Amino acid sequence: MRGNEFLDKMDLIDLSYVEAADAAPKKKKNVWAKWGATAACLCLVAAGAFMTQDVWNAPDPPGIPVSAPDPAPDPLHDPIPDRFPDPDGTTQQGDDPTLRPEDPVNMPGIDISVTPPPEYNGPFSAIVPASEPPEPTMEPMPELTTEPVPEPTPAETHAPMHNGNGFVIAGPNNVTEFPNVTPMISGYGAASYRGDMAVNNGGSVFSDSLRAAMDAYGDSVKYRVLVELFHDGVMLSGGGEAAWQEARRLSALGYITALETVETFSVEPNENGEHTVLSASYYFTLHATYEQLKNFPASGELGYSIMLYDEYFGIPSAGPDNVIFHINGFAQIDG
Amino acid sequence: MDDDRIVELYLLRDETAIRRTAEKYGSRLRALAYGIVNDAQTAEECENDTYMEAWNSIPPSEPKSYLYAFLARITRHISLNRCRSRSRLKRSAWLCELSAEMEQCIPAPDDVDCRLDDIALSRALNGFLGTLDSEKRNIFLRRYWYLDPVADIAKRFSLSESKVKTTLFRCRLRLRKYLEKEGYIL
Repeated sequence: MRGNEFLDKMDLIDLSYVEAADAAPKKKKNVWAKWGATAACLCLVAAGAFMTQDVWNAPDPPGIPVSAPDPAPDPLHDPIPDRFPDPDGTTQQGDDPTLRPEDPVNMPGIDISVTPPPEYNGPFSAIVPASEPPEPTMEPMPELTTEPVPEPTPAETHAPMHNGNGFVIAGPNNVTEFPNVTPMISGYGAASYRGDMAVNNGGSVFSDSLRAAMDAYGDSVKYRVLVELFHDGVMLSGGGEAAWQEARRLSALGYITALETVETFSVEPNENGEHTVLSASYYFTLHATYEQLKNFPASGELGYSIMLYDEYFGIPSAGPDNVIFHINGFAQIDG
Repeated sequence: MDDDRIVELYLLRDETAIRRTAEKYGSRLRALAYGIVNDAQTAEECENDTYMEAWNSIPPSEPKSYLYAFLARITRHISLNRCRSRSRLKRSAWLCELSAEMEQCIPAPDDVDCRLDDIALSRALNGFLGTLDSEKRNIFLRRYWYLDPVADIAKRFSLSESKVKTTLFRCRLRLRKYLEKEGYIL
């Protein structure tokens, strides 16, 4: 796998993390701005005090007696009072014994409140600009190329490999062998699923990959397939009542059916210590022989879009070194 | 409208689901697409393609808890593919840069003929992200999931660009070590 592909695989990240990364970050308090504003105010007061002292220290003009006023406050040397009485004599700060002399206080007439940083205006609230941004100048980069997907080759040209657990690692396609059991195929070729075709009641449509696999393997393997059910052109939930009933009907006819649930859970547990179900998807699957697929008994009430299991979930078809397809376990639905 | 209700509309095959989705998340999805394709018209096309893909995906998916993230994932995927299919050199260069960063996360190749499927890789990635504190995790995701430029990330988290770059570099190395330690080969 290369970096380009790994970038795509970031899609596999838990959606709760994705959602959390999009939340507005907490604003950091800028402590230095507060102290800087305090220092600026002190400097202003100090400058004013020096100017005032010069006036009061000037010699009295002859003949005019002037009484010396109280000395101007010297903020640089006088201790900072922890309270400034209001003009009516009440205490502005209130009786706060925890307020220390060095704590910044609002001096009368001077506001040292910190201006909060501007609101973040990130990409999700940005207005799409009307004009193209300027073209940056940079050296031309080589074109990205992708390796062509190899065409699937017939099974008999590749010898299967064992991985020591009794399972056979796939040949050119996702064929899994259990000891003393007919091998089962779940992927063929590199076709990817596009679920946008409704099937009419009574009809069954096989995907290109499934048909190609059936042509290649015939009745030498079983087929693990996923079935999308439709009624009057509307796709039904794989976990709904109709799916259950259909599973029972097909099971009674000898098919191995399963209703698989894939749930995603939150990574972090909630306050009860449980992992919340974030989403659930339901899938109707079959393990069928070649003959069972070829003579599929479609119900007149339902339409069927049938494809190989791996085709739906996007697991790439095997090359000689592809991963063995593992079956997580399934429950046979009794008719 | 609540996400639950919007998903219910999809399940009932009610086409107002698309309109409700566009009303609630359209601008965010378009902005996400624009950040990748850097073209307003293409971003709008990606947004529309997202609605079609969502219509086809629900059911069987029922993303009632994280509808936006579900849609954003589709938009990201479509936008990246569009970006790659276009031959605009400046976007290719941007993708090359991101791909090169991602390369640093991949453990050294081995002769073992075992490869990760998506389920195992998902477990590995999410396990790694769980080891990070929330700020590092969000920075990592803003860069490699939302594909934000470093400058935007720095502004968003009130950090310097060098701090963001350092954080990303260390996260990439940690991811690589995590994958190696857990025995994952890519």
